[in-house]
Parts: sequence; C-alpha cells; structure tokens
Amino acid sequence: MIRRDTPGLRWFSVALAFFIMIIPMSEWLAALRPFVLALVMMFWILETPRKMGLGRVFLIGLLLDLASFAMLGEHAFRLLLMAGVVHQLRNQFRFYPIWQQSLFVLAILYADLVVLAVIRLFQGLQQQPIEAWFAPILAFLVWPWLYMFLDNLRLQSRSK
Amino acid sequence: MALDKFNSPQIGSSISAWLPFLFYCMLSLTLMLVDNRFALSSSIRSQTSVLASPIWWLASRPFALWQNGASAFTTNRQLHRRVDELEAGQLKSDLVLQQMATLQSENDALRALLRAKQRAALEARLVELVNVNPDPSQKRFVIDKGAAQKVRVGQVLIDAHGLVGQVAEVYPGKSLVISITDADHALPVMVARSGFRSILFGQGNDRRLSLANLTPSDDIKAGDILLTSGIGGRFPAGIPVGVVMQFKQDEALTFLSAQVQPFARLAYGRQLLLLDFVEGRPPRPIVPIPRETAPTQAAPVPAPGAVTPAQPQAIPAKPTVIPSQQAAGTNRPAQSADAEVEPKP
Repeated sequence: MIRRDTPGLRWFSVALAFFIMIIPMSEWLAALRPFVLALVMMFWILETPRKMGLGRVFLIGLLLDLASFAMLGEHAFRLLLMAGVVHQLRNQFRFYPIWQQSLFVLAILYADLVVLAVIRLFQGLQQQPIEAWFAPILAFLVWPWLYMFLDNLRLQSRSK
Repeated sequence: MALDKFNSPQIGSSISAWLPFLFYCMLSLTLMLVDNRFALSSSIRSQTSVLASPIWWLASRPFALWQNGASAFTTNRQLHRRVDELEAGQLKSDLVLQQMATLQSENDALRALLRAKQRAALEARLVELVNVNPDPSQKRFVIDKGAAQKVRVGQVLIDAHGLVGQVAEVYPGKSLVISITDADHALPVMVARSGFRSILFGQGNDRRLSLANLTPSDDIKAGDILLTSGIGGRFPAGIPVGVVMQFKQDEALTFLSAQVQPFARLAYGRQLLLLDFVEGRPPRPIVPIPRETAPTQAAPVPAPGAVTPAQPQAIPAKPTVIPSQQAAGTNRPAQSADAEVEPKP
C-alpha cells in the first residue's frame, strides 16, 4: 500500500473542528458541545503521527485560546496532555476495536475535564456548568462515526 | 519541527523522548500563569484581532443564518401584525416622551435652583454582536465597533429592556463586552423604590443575578426594580437592571441573598445600544431622595470576608449629592473599588 499523505483533508478537518468549537450557541448547547477538535486531533495522531506533532498541537491550542477568549495556554495545555497520551499509546490504540477506542476516548475526555477543573480551581476562575460533564458522552457517541468518516475520506483521497 | 520527535514506539525508551512534551507543557502552564497575572491575552488579542475578525465572522455565520432564516419564513400577516404592534408601541412612547420633555425642563430648573450640575447627556449608537464567547461559564461577546470608532473601555451597553454590560477590551475594529451576568462582574445598583444600595453580582447564567449579604432589615423585597446607582462613575445612574425575584438564606443563616432577573434579553437579539458620554462631562452619580422609612434603617454589620466590605449600605438621612468626579475612569470613590470589573478573559 502506498502511504500517501493527505494534508488537505487533515487541515480542512482541523479547521472545521476549530470552527465548531467557537460557533456561538445557546447556553446549554454550548455546555454540551463535545471537544470535537480534540477528537479530530486524536484521529490524525493515530493516522499520521509525524504530521500532528506536539508543536502543531500546541499552536492549534493557542489559536483556539485566542479565538475563544480563553486564558492563554488553557486549550493548548489540555490538547497537549491528550496528544501526549495518544502519541504514547498509539500502537495499542490503533488495533483496538472501534467501540474500545470510543471508551478510551471517553476516559481521555473525562480526564481532560478533571484537568480543566483543576486549572480553573488554581487560577480562581469560574468552573464549567454541570452540563459540561455530559459532553464527553456525546463525544463518545460521535467518535466511531467521525473515525470511519475521516478514514474513508482519507482512503479515497489517497487512492486517487 | 525539531521538537516533534516524540512518537517513539517504546514508552520508556529514553527520557529524551519526553523532553519536548515537558517543554510544551511547561510553556503552556507558564503562559496560563502569566496571562492570569498580567492579562497578556487581551493585549495579544488586540494585536491579532485583525486576523481573528474573519474567523469570528465565519464562526458567527450559522448563528446569523439561523436568525435570518427565521425572519425569511414570516408571513405577510405576521409582518402586518408586527407593524401594528410597533405603531401602537410608538404612540405610547411618544406620549411618555412628551411628558418626559416637561419633566426634563422642570428638573433642569430645579437643579439650577439647587446649584447642582446638570447630568451629562447620553448618546447611543447601534452596535451589532459579532461573536459570543463559546465558553458557557463566561458571558462575553464581541461587538462590531472598536478603537477606530472611538469605543473606550468601560462604555456601557443596553438593549431595549435594560442594562447589558460594559466594554472590557477594545481592539482596532472590534470590542469585547463583558455582560452583567458574567461571574466576574459586579455592578453597583440601588432599589428604585427605597434607594437601598448594594452590589449585584453575575453568576455566569443569563437569567440570574445575585445580591449577596443582605440583612432582614434592608429595605428590599421581591418585585423591587433595581437601577444602576451610578456610584463608581462607570455606569450612568438610573438604567434599569432587573427585578428582585426571591430571597435565600446563606449557609451561615446570617445574611440573605436575592435572586435577580435581568431585564435585558441577554440570550436574544443581535443589536445593542452603546452609550456614549458627551466629552468633558462625566456622568454624575446621584443618590435619590429616600422615602420616609430611610432614616430608621440600621447599617448592616459587614460580613467577615464579605466581598464588598467598604460599601456603606445605610441610606443617608437627607438627600446627598456625591461630589462630582474628575473623570469617569479615574479618581473613583473608595466604596466602589470592589464594584469595578477586572476583565479576566
């Protein structure tokens, strides 16, 4: 199999996820918004780890901080932690069945929420509303579809 | 990128594989600390807002499409009904305005007699929401006017129903507005009926504000309307803010807190009014003439560790005019120090 890279698809999907993160929504919808950017980032780390290194993850996180009026470094740090875990466990992760991957993603996103709560506690900022703790469940449901969709697109664009 | 050699297959292969990870983690943690201390992100955002503007614009498209879509599906009859409603409303407002004109001239004459300064004239301009902070725990949004349109930090926004918020950061063509419902926002208010003054805190919820540290002897009850008190010089006095809904005992059972519902429809609409003070004439905070019950009011004991320790809550026995301030942004009276907002994005 020829491993041809698909940078167009990668950056388009990252940009789309980025916009989903900052689209204005009503209060409760915004709280339930899954961390789509993290999901897309995880996908690309699994598929093309060398093209989604920590430097790029950090830059994407900083951009999201600036565009979403968050504290500078907050999203960057959260994405970095997730990227670190996925990078290290990539070899196991890739051969899990997809439902097991989803469970893993769920665990990572809950760990991320705990990290966020600790950051906000230390910085004396307002905590997330309680609904935000349901967002990883949505992400858990989204992951298989996202994974299959992106994987299909990737295979198609690669075979051309 | 030289630092991207992180994805080594063996986990514990070498410590150097972890170095880039640690480096970036430390970098982002340092950024967070520095940002929280020195509000670094607001200056960076103001530098990069030219780049961010198209991103905000694009991100607000679904929101705008939703609203435009809703208006595209209104029927002719609905529109006619709406026009009728608006015309009726206009007639009522015209009547009120006529009365206001006489009241205004009377008021001016009385103020001249009392040798009190005239209140600063307020002008309003229409601004449009560009984007909303996606973080549900923060109530901040971007409007389409900025330094180029002479927007300044601290300017006040209202909608047709009441106070919305104030400008927290100004970028070249945009500004960031912090809503009165943001958890970091505190607002000096007074009860329209009794003149009782307090500080109103946001709670990060669009339908709820809170008045903390009330005592049972305070002259405030459910259904009271809250206005801005003008103390602190940032908000002009007399803008309607909200209505007191219900009271709640705090954990120590010493103080009451009141739930307040804001008048402004904060989750709806895209157009707001930005208030401009006429140059050189800062707004003058005026304490209203209290009712006959006022002198009997006892000053509440400040709570230990209360957020607004310096706020005098007793109403003066006679009408008092607080000395005029030099400018809206400087030389504020001491009791308002806690009422100021620290924009901490």
